[in-house]
Amino acid sequence: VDAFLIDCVRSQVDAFLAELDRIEGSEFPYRHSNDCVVETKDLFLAHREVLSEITPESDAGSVELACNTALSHVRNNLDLLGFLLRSTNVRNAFEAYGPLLRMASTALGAATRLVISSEWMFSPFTYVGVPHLPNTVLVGLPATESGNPLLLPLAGHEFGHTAWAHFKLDADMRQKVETAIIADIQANWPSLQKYFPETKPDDVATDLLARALWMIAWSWAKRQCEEYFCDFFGLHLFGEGFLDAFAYLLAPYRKGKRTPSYPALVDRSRALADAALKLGVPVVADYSKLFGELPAFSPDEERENALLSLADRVSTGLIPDLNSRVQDLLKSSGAAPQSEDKISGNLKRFSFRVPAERAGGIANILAAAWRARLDPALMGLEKMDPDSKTMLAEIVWKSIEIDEIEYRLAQHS
Amino acid sequence: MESERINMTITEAPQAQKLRINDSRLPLLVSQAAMELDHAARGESKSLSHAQDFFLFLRESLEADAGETEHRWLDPETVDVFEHALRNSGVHELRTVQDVIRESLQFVNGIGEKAKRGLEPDMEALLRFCVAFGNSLLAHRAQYRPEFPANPFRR
Repeated sequence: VDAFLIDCVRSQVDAFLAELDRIEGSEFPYRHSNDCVVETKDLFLAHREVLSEITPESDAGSVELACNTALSHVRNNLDLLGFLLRSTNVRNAFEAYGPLLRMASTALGAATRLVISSEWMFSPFTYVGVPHLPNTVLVGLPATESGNPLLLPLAGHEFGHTAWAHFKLDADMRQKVETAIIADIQANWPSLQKYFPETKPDDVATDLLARALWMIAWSWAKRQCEEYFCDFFGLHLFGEGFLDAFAYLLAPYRKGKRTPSYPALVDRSRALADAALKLGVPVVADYSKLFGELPAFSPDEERENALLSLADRVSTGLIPDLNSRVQDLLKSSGAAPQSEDKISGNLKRFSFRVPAERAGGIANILAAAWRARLDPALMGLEKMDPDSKTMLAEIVWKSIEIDEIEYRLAQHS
Repeated sequence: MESERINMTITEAPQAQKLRINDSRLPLLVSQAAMELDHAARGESKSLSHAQDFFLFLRESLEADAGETEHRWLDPETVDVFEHALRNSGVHELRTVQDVIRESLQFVNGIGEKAKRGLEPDMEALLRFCVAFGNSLLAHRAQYRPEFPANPFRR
């Protein structure tokens, strides 16, 4: 392997570590961001050590592997680095840190760590579990929305990703998804046969050629299951606030392409609405009609469309199982569902233009805020103009702060 | 001074053994193991702790899910990575999952058998498989890395 190429890789790893050193010198508002920087640094120090062992006598295959592995980690962790850096920015919702961490700890265990940051991508749903940062929830909201507390319920979805890893659901769902994929292919053999020209239906599970193809659908379906699970997690923790925040951010998507590893928005919203009804969370009629269908592939990409339909059928078939898993996990954790009394009380305070007291936690504050946002008459307003939205946001932030103060005082009394 | 032996009979689970095939830390472990095996293959004295963790990971991956019956189950990612690692190591007669499991177990059990009998493993062969596995893992991760949702403002 060319010495110049090895030097390039070493330099890139060194540059990554230098950046981590600079970030480590930042003023962190809470410990967990700093912990993540230190643990990410450990990963790259290990890479630096491997690369330092390369000599002119080293085996070419090992050298190439070391370089490619280090580069793949540089590439895949750069956005995480930016995320950790931005977690120090004052634009972040520090008022919400304590309440959200408490909620995450109740749902996921006392060892849970939380990092709140801003995204310079529009979608907040960007981080799945980061293995070198175990028990860590990374909540990133679009930077342009960082002053909008009404989007905080989307943190519940991110808690779900950590729960998925923490409670080892991935390992369990792998076989379930595979079984469902194979059963679906065999059940729909007449229409799917053409994609498996050299395989008999009974051999679909074992034939390596067939597996290479259905594994694409398996991979999508497994990720879709995780997303459904995370949506249910957010819904169970934040109630109607999650439904409204989800719709605010995603319902306006009417152009562009769907990502196959995410469920279709219409399917997602339908699953959320069904789960909300079962949970007794108020949901508007035809909630799913707020969302549009986006194509993942062009119509002439027949095979890709067939695989995606297969993945969609499998993941939607597992929705009841995923929802009941969330219910079981959160029931045993003691996470409180939303309270109609608390929401009404909070809403009344908002209508007086004052922050809520004894609000019953962040979920009840945000549910009340969404009711006010969607029905300005509840605030005695004719419409929700920009000034009214700002006023509502201010009252909500203050309510969250008061809720935190009350909690801390209660801890000391 | 000779290198450490690869000990496949350890029953205590080190941290690395708990890694799963989709864990982003696994490629680093494989890379560290390859470096150690390279040193050992050239007769240099080095610790083989990462190599040992790697081979224990292989054994755990094949046994944890597969069970003891004829109808073993391995998750699709494990099958895919092992299949391509075997092909890159020169095993080409692979048609079914059972072929992949059989060949992989044969390789892994072979290391264990040699260790039990106190024989020196073929470091060159271990290195080749380790590199092949690492390359297969990186290729697999590149292919199946979760994509971010499309930015609505991009199109």
